[in-house]
Amino acid sequence: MTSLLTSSFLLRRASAGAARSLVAKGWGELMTGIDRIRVIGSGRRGGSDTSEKLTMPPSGAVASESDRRSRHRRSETTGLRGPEPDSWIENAPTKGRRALNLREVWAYRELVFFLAQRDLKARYKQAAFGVGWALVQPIVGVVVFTIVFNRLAGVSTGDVPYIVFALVGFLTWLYISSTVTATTESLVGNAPLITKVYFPRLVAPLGALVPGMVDLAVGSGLVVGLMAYYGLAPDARLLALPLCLLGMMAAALAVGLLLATINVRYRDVGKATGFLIQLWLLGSPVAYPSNLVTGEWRWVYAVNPVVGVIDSIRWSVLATEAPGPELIVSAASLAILLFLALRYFARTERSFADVI
Amino acid sequence: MAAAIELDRVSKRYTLGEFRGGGDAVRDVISASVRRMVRIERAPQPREHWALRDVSVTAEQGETIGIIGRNGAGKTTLLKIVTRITEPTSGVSRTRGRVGALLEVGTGFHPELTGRENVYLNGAVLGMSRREIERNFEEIVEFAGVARFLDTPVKRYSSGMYLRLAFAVAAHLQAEIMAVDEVLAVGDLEFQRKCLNKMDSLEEEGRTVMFVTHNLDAVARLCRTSIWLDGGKVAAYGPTKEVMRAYLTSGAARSHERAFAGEAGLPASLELVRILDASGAPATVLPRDEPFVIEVQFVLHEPVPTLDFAVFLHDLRGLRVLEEAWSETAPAERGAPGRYVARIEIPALLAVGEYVTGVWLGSVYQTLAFETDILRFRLQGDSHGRNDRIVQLGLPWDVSRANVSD
Repeated sequence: MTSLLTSSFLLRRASAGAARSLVAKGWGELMTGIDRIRVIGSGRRGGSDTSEKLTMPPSGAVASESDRRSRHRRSETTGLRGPEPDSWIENAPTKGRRALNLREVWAYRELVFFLAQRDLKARYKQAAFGVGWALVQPIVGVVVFTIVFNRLAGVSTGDVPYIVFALVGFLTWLYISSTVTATTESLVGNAPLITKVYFPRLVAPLGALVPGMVDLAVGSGLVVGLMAYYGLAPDARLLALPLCLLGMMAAALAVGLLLATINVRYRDVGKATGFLIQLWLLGSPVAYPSNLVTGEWRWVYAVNPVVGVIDSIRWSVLATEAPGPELIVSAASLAILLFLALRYFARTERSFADVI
Repeated sequence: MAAAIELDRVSKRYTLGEFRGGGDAVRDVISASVRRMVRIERAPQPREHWALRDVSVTAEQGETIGIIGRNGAGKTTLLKIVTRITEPTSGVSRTRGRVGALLEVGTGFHPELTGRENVYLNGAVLGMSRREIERNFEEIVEFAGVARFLDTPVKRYSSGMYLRLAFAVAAHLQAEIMAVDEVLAVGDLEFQRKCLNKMDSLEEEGRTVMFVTHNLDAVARLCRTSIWLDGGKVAAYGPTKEVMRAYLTSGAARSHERAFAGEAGLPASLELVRILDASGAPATVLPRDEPFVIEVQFVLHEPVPTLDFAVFLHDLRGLRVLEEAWSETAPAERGAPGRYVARIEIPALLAVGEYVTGVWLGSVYQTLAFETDILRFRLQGDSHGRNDRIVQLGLPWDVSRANVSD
C-alpha cells in the first residue's frame, strides 16, 4: 500500500496540489535517468549529465585480435560483475543533477547481501544468547507498553487484544528504528571500504536494510503464537503484507539514507539520531491506535510515513480498521522523502571518498 | 593493442581547511558563517591542494605501468581516479573492462568473521561474484597457506596469516585492469616472492596493471613503462629505464653529500661527507656491482696525535654491515694540523638495498665527532630475489655431475 510503486502511481495520478505534481515530475526524472542508463548500457552513446556513462571506444579503435581474446577470456570467467568488455566506463566530474545508476546497483546486489551477512554474523558472534536477543526487546517493550498504556492510561484497541496490537506495532517500529540507525551509520561505518574500493555507494545503505528483517522474522514468531492463543486468524488481507513491508523498508531507507548522506559530512547527525528516534516513536501509532488523533490534526499526523506503514500492517495482519485517506498523505510524504534522499545522495555520492 | 586505461588531462583538487581536521561539525560551519556575516572575519581563502594536475596517461591492454614518486606526489590519488573511488576535479578517466582496486590488503576484512567468511566478503568487496569466489576458493586457501585455520575468526590470526589470506583473495581477482598500491610491502620474504611472481603472471594473462610502489627494484622488474609523478604533475613518462634514471638523478630521493658546521673549541671538525660512484661523481644510487667511494673531509685545528677516523654502514634494519677505521692501516706518525680529504673505496660486495653511512672522528683518547645517519644511499641491481643477505659476492660454483651413466 505504501510501497514505492503504488505511491509513485498515486502521485502520477494526483492532479491537484503543486507539491504533489512536482514530486511526480521528479520521479519521472529519476525514472528517465534509469531508462537512459539502460539505453546507454546497450551500447549507444548516451546523455551528457551522467558521470559514469558507458560509451563506445573512441573513433578509430577497431576490435583487434587482443580484443577478441579478451572477450573470449571473459566469457570463460562467467558471473563477472560490471560493464561489457568493449565499453568504456568514464570517471568525470559530477556536474549538477545526476541520475543514480540503478543498473550498476543491481549488478552489485551480491555485495548488498554480503554486507548484510557480515553485520548479522558480527552481531551474533560471541553472544551466547544469539538470536534470542531478537525476542527480548519486543517482549520487554510490549510488557511495558501494556502496563503503561493499556492498564494505566486505559488505551483501548477495540476487538484486538492490546498486547497483540502493540506487538505488531512495536515489531514494525523496532525494524524502522534499528534500520534507520544502521542505515545512518552505513556510509561512515563502511568508510574503509568507500575510500579503498569502488562500488555503487547505494549498496551500503541497502545492505543495512536487511539485518532488521531477520529480527523481524524472529519476532513474528511471537505474533503468530499470540494470535493463536487469542484465536485470531488472518484472512486474505494478509496477502497485502509484502507490500506493506516494502513500504516499511522504504520508510526506513528514506530517512536513513538522508541521514547517512548528511552524516558523511556532518557527524552531528549520528549524535542527533538517537534523540530524534525517541521523539519519532511518540509521534507514531506504536503503543496506541492512530484513531486517537482526531480532527484536522490527523492530516498533520499522517505526514509521518510510519503512521501509514503501521496502520497498513495492522490492517493486513490483525484485520483492524482499514486506513483512510490519511494513507495517501503518508504515502506522498514517504515518496517525497525518498525522492529527496535519493536525489541528494546521487548528487554527493561521488565525493564521499574525499569527505568521509 | 587497444587502450585499456585513458586519462585525459586529469586534475584533482582537495580543499583543506573549513571541512578538515575536527572542524567537521555543523556548529563550526554555522559559527564561521555568522562571524562572516557580521564581518568579524573574512571568508577564509580556501586552502587548496592539487593532488594531480593535468595528468594524461594511456595504458595499452596487457601493459604494466609503474608509478613512482615521493610521498604526496599524487600516486595513490591517480589510482583512486582510475578505479573510480573518487572523481576527478577536471578531466576524464576512462577504463575498459572490470577494474580491481588493491589499494590495501584486506579491505573489508572483519575481525570477528572466520577466514572462510572473510574470503567471501573480501572477494565481494573487490568485485568478485559468489561463483567466482567459489571457483577459486581452494586455490586462494592454498596460496595463503591457512587451510587449517579457515574456520577461526581472523582476529586470532597472526598478522602474517592475515596478510597472506588477504593478498591471496586479491591475487585471484580476475579483473581486466588492476590498480595496485604498495601491497607488496607486506608479509614475510617467501610470501613477497610469491606475490611478485603473481604480479609477473598478471601481465602474461593480458591484464593491464597500474602499480604504485617505493620499491624501485620491483618497478624495474615488472614494468616496461613508468610514470614519475612530482607534485601532482607528470615529471617523466615512458620506458621504465629512462624514467627511473630521470627520477634517481633528480635528487628527489636522497642527497649525496652532507656538510657540517663544526663545533668550536675542539681540535678537529668534520666538514663534508659524500658518496662518489666509480667514476668519481657524487651519487646516491649506485650500481651494486661496481665499487664506490665514501669521502670524508675534515680539518685539524691543532695536532691530534693518534688521530683516527672510521666510516661505517648500517642497513635499514639497523645492522652494522661494515666498519673501517684508519688506524688499522695508518702510519704511526700522524695528526698534523690541516685540511684532510679521506677516501675509502668499498668494493662491490654489499647486497642490493638501502644503506646509511656514519662517521666517527677522534683519537685513541677522545671522540671529536661522531655522526650516524649522515647519508642514505642505495645500491641498485639484481638481488635475484634474495633480499635477506648482507653480502652478495656472486662466487663461482664448481658443479660437476657425479655418477655419469654411460
